[in-house]
Amino acid sequence: MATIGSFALLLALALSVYSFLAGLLSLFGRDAASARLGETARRAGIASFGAVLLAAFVLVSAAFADDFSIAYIYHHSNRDLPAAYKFAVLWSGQEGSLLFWALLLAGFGFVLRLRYKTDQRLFAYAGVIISAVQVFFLLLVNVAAQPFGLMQGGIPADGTGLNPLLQYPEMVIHPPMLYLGYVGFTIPFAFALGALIMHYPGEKWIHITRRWTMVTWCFLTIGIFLGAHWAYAVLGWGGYWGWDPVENASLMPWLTGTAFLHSVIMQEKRGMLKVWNMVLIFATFLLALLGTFLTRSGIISSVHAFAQSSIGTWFIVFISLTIAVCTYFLVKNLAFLRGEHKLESLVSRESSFLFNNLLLLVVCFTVLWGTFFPILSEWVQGHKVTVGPPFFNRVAVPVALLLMLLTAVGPLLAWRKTSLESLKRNFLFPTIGSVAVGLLMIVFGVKPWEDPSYFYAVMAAVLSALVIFTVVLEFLRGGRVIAGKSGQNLFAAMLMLTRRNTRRYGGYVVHFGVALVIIGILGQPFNKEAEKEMAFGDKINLGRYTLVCQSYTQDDNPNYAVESAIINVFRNGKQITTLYPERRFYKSSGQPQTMPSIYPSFREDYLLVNDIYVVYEGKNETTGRPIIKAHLNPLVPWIWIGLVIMVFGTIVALVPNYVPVTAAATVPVRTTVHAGAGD
Amino acid sequence: MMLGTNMKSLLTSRSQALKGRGFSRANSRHSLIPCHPERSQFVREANGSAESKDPYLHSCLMGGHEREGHDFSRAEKTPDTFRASAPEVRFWVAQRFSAAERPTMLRAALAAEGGRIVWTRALHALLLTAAIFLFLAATPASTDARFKDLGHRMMCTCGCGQVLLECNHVGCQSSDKMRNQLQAALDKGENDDLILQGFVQEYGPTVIAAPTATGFNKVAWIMPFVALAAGLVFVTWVVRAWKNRPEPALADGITIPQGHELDQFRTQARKETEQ
Repeated sequence: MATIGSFALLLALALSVYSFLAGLLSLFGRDAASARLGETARRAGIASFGAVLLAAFVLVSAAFADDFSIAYIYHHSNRDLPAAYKFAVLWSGQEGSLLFWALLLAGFGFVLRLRYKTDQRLFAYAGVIISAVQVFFLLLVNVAAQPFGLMQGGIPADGTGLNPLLQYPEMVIHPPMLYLGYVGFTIPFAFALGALIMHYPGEKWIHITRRWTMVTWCFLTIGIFLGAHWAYAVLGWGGYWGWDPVENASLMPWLTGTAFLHSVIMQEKRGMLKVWNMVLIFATFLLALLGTFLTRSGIISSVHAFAQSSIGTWFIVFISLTIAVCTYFLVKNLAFLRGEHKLESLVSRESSFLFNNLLLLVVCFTVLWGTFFPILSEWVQGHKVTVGPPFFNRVAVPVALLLMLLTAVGPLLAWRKTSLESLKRNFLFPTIGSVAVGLLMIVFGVKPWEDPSYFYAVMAAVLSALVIFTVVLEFLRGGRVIAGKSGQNLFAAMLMLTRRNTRRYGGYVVHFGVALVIIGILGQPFNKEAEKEMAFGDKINLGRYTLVCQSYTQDDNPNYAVESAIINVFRNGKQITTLYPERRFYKSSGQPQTMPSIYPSFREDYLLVNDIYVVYEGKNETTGRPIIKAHLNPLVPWIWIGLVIMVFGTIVALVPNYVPVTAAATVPVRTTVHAGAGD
Repeated sequence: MMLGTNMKSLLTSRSQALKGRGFSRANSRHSLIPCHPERSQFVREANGSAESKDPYLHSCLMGGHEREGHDFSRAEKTPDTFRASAPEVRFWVAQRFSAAERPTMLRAALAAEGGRIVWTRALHALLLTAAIFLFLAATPASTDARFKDLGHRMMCTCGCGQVLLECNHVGCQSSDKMRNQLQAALDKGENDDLILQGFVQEYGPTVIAAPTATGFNKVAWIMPFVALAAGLVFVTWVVRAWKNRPEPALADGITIPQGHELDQFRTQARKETEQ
């Protein structure tokens, strides 16, 4: 099996190298021979996907076949590992992850090369760039991180198993989503660089890659949020975002990708920001590479320590090379990117996009700076410092709030110039409503002057409300216009409105989702927690809820042994649910893992939902009683609901616009022929 | 000055008169009531006037300057203004107009100064409120609150990469020990800095969850704001530069509507494209 896999990877590398070199040569000529060479390069690229797919298939098959002669399978699987996790073995370790990267890239390249007739020349350039990236990743899996390396000595009877942290349903889908995001940005990057090199006229490359970019952004968003949910539901510390370097690494391309999605609108509508858009998509691709590098190299200590290795040098060389190539072509072709920059007013959609981009980039810089500052400190001061949550919360949160303000204001500003009357019309009610939300919070006991975190919570609530009110008002206003003309009911009219401009209204839905996510986050300062060793019938009071230990028990299955507690949750003396927090002991790896039990109180608290989050921390060996830690986390479920709405909004924006078909009615025309009138 | 003169012309004439005496900012963004020389004169007059018997007016006019030994001879050479309060306006009107004129002139003068007075008072109230909030925020926190605060400013050293109070490893040797140390230090009454220093000495600088505001570590805090400021300056410059670019030349006979007409076209376009 290992031989087939290794051969397939070698073949994929050879095909990719050929695709790159032949494709590159073909770009220099315009004769028939060059065209034929280009065609062979395209077909080699397509074939490389088949070879990488075969290698990935062999690795997964080896996991299912418990082939522990392959070192990777021995280190990341065991006989009793459930089937879903055996499938996830492909991306559970370093070598498999890089193979997965190569597979996704080859897959995207495959689709791209099949659709080459859209614009053969531009696709040829993009194909060469994609082949170059493919060569890098296939070199890695053939030379530096071989997934089919064999065990030294005899073949072990069983594997050491998958890291317990990764044995969770979301772990099966979180890495693929994140990788789809990282890898997907290669496509708009390749088209942008290709368009720059060949002086491609107009904005067609943006139109071609718009959907790629949005889908990629959506995958990255899902990947990030699934990671956050995994941290929340598995790590058992009651939080979902710890500003870990690897979390930061995924956030950075998301921020620049978001900036790119907004600023390309400026190029499409007004022919502005051509250089800036190039820089943004280059930066996004480079940050995606950096994210993979940070996750895989382990140069910065992280909770993702399971992924560390010594392939950092390869990434540093490739990232440096990419920066050099991008900078060279950008400087060389600067004149080609001259824009038609003309602004009429500071209060316009254009300037809001500029400030939106600025704030996104400042947050990105802050995250990058904070992530790498420990290394810088070691160089300068001779010792590392920790740059943890207090730093990021204090620096990034205020800028993020400004960004929320722009999210509310920006979309409702008119292109070119916004009149005072229009500002009043669009913002009077949303402003009154959002200020009322802030006042309500103060009335109900949130004192923003007592603690900066309360201040930020109130500000976040006000700004989220502003975003929601402006979005709702925009839908209502547009819906009323259509309802007035067509006689449809308001809901049908709003649906029609969305179908006629999916990108715009899909974008509003995404903004709505973002506001819900922010609402979910702003509950953090009001978290409550309690810890107690619990005998039968012991209670923990947490806000309005009382947790009563009904029982504790033990169980066993082939993969792990488990201790769990049965906790009844009461509200106002009435039982509302039962929670089963667990602590597992994985047999093959010998590692323990908590499995918190979570109950979102929608039925009891409605919109002001709380997560009742109970962790079985362990057992007091003397008394045999469980130690239970309980958290009451307000509003957290809104984060996951916000994600669903963001994804829904992106899907809406991907749907082509509905264009009403108007057919000219044929009316017979009676003509009278006068005899003798003609000649 | 003629009866019935509106305040605007009154202000203009007054400012012209003052300009002739070297007071150029008398009427613009500053006050109706002129600067120190006349104020000092009003104060002197107030001592003997009927209004000066009003303790509020008297204290208002006497307040500050004379009690603090204000040097009026120096002030007379200083072309500056002060902001008028209501009693000062009333006094100024009383000094210059007959009893019949006073009500009209007083209303006009107060209307002119009124907005400024309201805003000044609002500002004072705001400052006072802020001071109270700052005072409340500065009140010493309880030991529990300090434990929570300090526990979130340090990292657990077991290698989990989590904030001290968020390390959830049962029986974690590091976090349990550190929590106990923190509680002991708080019980001893040590201040926050001393406690953090103690932890740094024992566990090294990486125990602090964020860079301290000392030495090179300051750079960590400053750089994001420098980036923001530089970005804001750059974007503002770009916006201004683009705004000042000349319009592209139009073919003969084509004109772009401006102002209200342009807004009308835009509204129409918006309505039509929303359908």
